[in-house]
Amino acid sequence: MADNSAVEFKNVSFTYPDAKKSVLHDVSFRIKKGLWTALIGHNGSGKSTISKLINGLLIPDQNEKSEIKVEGIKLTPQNVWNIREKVGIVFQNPDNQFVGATVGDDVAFGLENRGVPRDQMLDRVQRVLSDVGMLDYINAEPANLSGGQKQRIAIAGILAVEPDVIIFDESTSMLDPNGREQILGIIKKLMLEKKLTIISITHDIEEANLADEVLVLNDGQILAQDIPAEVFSKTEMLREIGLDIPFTEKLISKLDQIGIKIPQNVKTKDELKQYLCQLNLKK
Amino acid sequence: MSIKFEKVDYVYSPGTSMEKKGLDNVSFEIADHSFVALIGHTGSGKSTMMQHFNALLKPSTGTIDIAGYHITSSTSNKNLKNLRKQVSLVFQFPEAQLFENTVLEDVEFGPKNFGASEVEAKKKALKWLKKVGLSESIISNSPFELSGGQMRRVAIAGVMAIEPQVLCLDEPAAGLDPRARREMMQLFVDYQKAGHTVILVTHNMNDVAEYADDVLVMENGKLIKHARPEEVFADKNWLKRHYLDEPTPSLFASSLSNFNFEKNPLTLEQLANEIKDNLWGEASE
Repeated sequence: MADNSAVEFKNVSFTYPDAKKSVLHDVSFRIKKGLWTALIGHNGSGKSTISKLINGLLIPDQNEKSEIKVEGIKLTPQNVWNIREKVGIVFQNPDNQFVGATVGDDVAFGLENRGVPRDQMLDRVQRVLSDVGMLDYINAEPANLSGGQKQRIAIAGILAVEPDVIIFDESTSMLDPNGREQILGIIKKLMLEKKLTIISITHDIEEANLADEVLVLNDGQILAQDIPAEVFSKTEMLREIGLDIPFTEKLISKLDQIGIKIPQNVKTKDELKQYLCQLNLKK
Repeated sequence: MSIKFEKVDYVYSPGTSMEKKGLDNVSFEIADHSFVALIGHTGSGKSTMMQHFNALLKPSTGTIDIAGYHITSSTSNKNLKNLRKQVSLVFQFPEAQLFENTVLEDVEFGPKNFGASEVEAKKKALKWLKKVGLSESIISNSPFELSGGQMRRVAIAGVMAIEPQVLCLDEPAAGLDPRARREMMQLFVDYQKAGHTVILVTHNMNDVAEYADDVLVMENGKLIKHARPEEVFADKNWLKRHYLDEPTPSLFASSLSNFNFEKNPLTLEQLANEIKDNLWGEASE
């Protein structure tokens, strides 16, 4: 039912002003509530356009059948501000998202904007900073933090306004491996503890592999929506549209090329490890 | 004309309470025409070092030899123009530095700035726009109307059109999709093969394994290792101690407990072949 969709697109097209071609062509899909959905596709495939449509930063092309629903509510020019309360976006470059002089001020910004009373605000800033493990830094200057720490502050700022959906638009691509792992761990934790819906837009196939569902976008159309294991087993399709395939799939196809056949039912990294180790015992 | 750092210290805000050592007694020499990876965590001194390559920063003590220049703390900023032509830096998010009215003018700016004629600058700009994979149909567009991936390409074409001897890039492929990423890395490999030095600042150990023939590892302003990738990734305990990742193939190899790898496989190709050798024995080829 519509009840378990956090986001629903029906027959949505979008054309940028002055562009000849639309970036999204008649797209329909549902993103399930409380799950982590990864949106993958090459540069220019329409991923970021979708995220901007979800919170009304962009308006779809005129079409009677076209509809966008967030948490069951139809997006209209009248209620766009209510929808924005429900959807937070964390962007790619942590340095572009700071407005406060200290970490605490920065996280409080969204709350001040909404006229939240001061005592509640102080309370909430503390709570969300501890959610992302950054409470010790409440008085620190943003400039002195690492990229991963900055992204954690950006997440705290979003959490403070208590959205239902958080979109991570390439939020880990500028981070070092440590920073990336921290952020992915926090995403998972928030999703489980706060029953948030997570949409992550990413080129990192290993990151998409952590999601519950993967939505593949190519030239403005949905090519597939399924669990990661299913999507990533379609290696031909992924290669064709210029995406990477996960390490395990790459190794399986390389081994196949040099004459080591891996059975179809071996899919994950652990299964491949086990299979190879058993094969090595039997030789 | 190799690049040589000798006992280089760099101190930020000396004499103030903010004083901090950016580089601490760094010495190394890299051969001409090599592909060098510069790795280390955020704040380890990679960017500080990068800015020394064309004297945007000058050593507090110690000396640097690069592109025929000998740079010390007292080197004057005059006469550095040719150094900047020989050594180009590409920082993170170079697309933030686009500024001209059209794509073509933006890419022409570099060569013109270093004295190329109109005709020559245009020729170079067109050549590099093509090499970075942009079609000629967009050259009269404003660079600000392009997608993020295209803007990155314009910015990189703008630097490569100067055709520097040494090209140093900070995470040039971050945020690009996998195909664009591969094309971009191949562009740098081709540039190196054509007789230039390429220095890549990166967190991606798979890229280090795949492309680099020399690796500099920084930590707290110190150069803690300078070696070939095979050597850097050979000592797994050392990597752990310094919180550095292994390339995915070598990580997978270490998890195959009953296998015996003669050489630590760094690339997918090496891994697959080593697995085959283990399963079939080397004589079975």
